[in-house]
Amino acid sequence: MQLSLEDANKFVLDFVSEFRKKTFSRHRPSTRQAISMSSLLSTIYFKRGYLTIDDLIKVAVITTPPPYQEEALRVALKVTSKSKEEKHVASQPLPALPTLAFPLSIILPMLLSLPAMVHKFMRKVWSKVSSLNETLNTTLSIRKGATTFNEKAHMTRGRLASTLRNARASGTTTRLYYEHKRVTKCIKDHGTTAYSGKSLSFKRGAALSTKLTDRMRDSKSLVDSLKHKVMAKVRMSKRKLSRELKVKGAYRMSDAPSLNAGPGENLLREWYELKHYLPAKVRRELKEIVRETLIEYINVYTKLLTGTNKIGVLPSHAVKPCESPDLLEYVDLEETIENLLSKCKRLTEITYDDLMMRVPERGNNAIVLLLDASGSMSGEKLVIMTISAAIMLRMFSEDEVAFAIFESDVFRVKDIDERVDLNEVIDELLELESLGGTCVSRALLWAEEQFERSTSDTRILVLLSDLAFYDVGEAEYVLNRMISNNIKGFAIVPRLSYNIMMASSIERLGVTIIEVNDWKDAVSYLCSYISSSYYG
Amino acid sequence: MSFPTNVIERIKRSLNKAKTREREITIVLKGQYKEAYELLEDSESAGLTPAIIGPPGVGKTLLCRYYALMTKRSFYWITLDESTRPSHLIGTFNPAVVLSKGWCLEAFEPGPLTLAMIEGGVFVANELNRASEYTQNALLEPLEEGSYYIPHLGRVVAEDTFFFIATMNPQELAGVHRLSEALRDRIHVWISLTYPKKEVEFEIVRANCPEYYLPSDVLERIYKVVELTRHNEHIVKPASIRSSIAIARLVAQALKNDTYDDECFVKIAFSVLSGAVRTKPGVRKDLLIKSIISEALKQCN
Repeated sequence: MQLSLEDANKFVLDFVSEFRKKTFSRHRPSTRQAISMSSLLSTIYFKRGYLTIDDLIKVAVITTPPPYQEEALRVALKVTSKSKEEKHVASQPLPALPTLAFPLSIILPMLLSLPAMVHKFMRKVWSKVSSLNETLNTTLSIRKGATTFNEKAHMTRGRLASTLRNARASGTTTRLYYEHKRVTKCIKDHGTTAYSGKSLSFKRGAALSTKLTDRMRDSKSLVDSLKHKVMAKVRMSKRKLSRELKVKGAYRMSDAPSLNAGPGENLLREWYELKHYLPAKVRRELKEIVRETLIEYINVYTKLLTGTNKIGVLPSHAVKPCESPDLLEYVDLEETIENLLSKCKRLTEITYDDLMMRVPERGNNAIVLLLDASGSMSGEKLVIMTISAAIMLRMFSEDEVAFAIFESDVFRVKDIDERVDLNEVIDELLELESLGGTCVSRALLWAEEQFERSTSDTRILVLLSDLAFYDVGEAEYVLNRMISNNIKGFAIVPRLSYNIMMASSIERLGVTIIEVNDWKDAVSYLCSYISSSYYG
Repeated sequence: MSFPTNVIERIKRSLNKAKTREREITIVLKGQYKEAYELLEDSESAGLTPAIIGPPGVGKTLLCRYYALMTKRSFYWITLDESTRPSHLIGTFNPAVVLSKGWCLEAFEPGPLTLAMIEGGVFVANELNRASEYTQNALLEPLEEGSYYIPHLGRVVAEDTFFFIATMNPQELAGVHRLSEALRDRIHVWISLTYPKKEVEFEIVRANCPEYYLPSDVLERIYKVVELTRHNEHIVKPASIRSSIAIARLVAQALKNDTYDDECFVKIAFSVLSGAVRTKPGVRKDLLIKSIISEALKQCN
């Protein structure tokens, strides 16, 4: 199908407005994109003389930045199919009105029965509409989050109780039950003699008893089925609610980088809790969102901590030749004059290398991060430690950093002399499972090996753990050796719960214990502790 | 400091050689490359700024160079990273001249961007997303206004034929180094290049080994090895076309010397791939590469 420029412009507007409607998308096509699309389509049109639907889709995709091109393709396909349908409808000739070809003898009775038919039809429609309306209302009530899960659970529990009460009040079962009990008791207490000569009564009592037992069984099964139904409803509403929370989480993330998604819920914690229950595709998509948000947050937070200059954890100043004319503000006049005099240079021979600048720079530190992922670290603790570890990796990116995760075993993520993309590390962190015991000594031995490979004077060991170690003796031995080798040790522990005995014992060895409530504390406390331990 | 005459002569010769080489580009303009080239043409006609995205070694820079050559314009390029400053793009003042003559035009040594702007040439910013935000922001003005303010001199306005192309690595795009929102909005067309199809890659390899004869079964083997690295889940950075060419040239030389056999192929492929491929942490690269090569040989035999 050949399209004109007018069609192309209409497509551009439809595409942009449709894309902007997508609340879950993090990309909003700008006016610049709309203009670019339009100009590119015009160019293709003037080059070839016509446009095709493929051109429209291709242009929509290539003018959208790569991470969102798949979404753009979906929107473009939707818009083009819609316009195709519209065109199809518009191009169809209007159907001719049917001519009255039936004799009145057939039509009249039909016309007479019309009100009844209409009534029947309307009733059907009405019932359909009301059921739809009901479903819509339930969905809306869940979606709006007007009733939280707890309220919902209370409501359903209340409903169960009231159903039981009603069943009791409606009486038959309970009355029959008590009657049955009384009669049985009577029979037991008085024996058959109380009813001697009254075999008929006894027989009646026995028959009544059997009947009552049957009824009781029936009523019990009724109550059971009711209970199951209510429980199923509770489960369903819970599932819907959690799905809604997830959706809300995704929506919030699009607004600003935040790890707090849902009421009081942490996005990362939600991820760790939910990841096993999600279908593969949703899991993949959610992981991408969590990773993106985490990276963004790490970037923002690291910038806040370090500022725009290069002052890092261990700030220092260095005097060196000017690297670039952009850095003229750092030129140290005294050092420059001294340098020029020592080189005996004339003014006409000066180059940028002769200008000396004093720049704040980060010390070259060797840092080993050990993250505990044992069973005791599950839940909130793991979340706090994971984010802290990720932020530290970013913050110390200019330094020599090694990173390993340990439980019963040690998993090396990054060696001290290795360059690993933060994306990959975050991928590994998101796949973390808190399992197994806590054997730290092997991780410490690995850390020691990493420090040996580094030539840096400043060597820092950061342990992110709740210190619930199995191998206390070995751990203390290795830690002692490390500290005597001038390695500074810091243990970041969750204030929620950690092994106080172990903490005090390693503190005696010289390891600084940093209690944190929140992952934000972890990094800032660590920085100030490191600075104070090196600079007093 | 003065150089001996023969050194100056050699430098002159080398400069001339470089100029001639710039005019000889071996490119296979088929498939995705043809599409990308056409999109570059369309973008320029529409006055839009394109960015070419693709993994290392797919021929992004080569395509840009070819585009400049075909449109008979000067070609300037710079590879950006975190240490690149705006002055590397725009240019600097020579402090010695400034001290003797003041802030004058004579003291200014233009950078590649300024040169491309005033000559109306093609400027390629390689790995744009690796630059710091400070440097990225310096590009906003040339992209938006087609001009740049040079302190002490004034505003430089670009010629109409000035064309800016950015190239990027997709892996970096999703990760830590990302484009600022402002710059991303000023790049209008995103052209994706991936590893080419088998036939195109064969042609590229052949075109880059003009002095050798390469039988198709050898090419098939080379392609299989390289392709397996591109689909292996333990490999972060797979082998590029450059690796294919390197293996092909070494194999062709072995064929010429009559020393080519399976063992020789394994040795060549291993030595090229162990430098070209990057694996995920914790994966033994040597074992992985050996298994890939043996798998490729098995599949081809």
